[in-house]
Amino acid sequence: MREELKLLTRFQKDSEWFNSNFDELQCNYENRFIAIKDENVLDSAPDFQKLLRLLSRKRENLAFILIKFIHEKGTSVII
Amino acid sequence: MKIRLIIAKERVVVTASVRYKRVFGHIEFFVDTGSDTSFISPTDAVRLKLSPASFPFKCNAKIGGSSLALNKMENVSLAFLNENGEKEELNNPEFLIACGVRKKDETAYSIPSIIGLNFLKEHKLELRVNPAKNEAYLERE
Repeated sequence: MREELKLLTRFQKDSEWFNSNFDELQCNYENRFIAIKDENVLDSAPDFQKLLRLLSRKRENLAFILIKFIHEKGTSVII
Repeated sequence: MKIRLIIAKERVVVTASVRYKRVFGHIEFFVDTGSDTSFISPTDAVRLKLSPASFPFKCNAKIGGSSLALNKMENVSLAFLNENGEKEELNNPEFLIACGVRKKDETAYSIPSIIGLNFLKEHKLELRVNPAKNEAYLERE
């Protein structure tokens, strides 16, 4: 139970970190998927499946990794 | 009870742990009051090793120019962090999962998981957002 809470808190911090550092990340990772863990970019790839393969090779548990796509500058995403 | 939300580039997101049978993982959901459904995105489904095609069909959805089939999962538990850093667990007899995309481009792959108005209504959650103060949360008495 304690471990679950710790993992969720970490994931929330990663989400906050991504959103606080979005502008800088956009400069470095435009049009790429990035994987974030412990407020760091673990890896990136232009393709989602390729990123998953890279993370699997690093033996990362994908279920606890934040993965985001970085759109190019000037793009508004409307859902 | 208050669940803190994150204001991100003009959007509001919330992180949650998701439990379905033996599957457990984390998802960042967009809180979208313009959506009448809530669902797990195709990419989050892959990440959590969920197989959307194994669930029964519920409805179709058009999102960001992509067409998605939404399938029905039963008994999905979502846990959020409250204002004290404790877990608040909300059980969902029914939750939807997006069954992949036809258009294999980055737009389709970047469709987020969504918590829509139906979820707020079902769990009697009030959404409060003050972008000027960078404050947003879900509240239930």
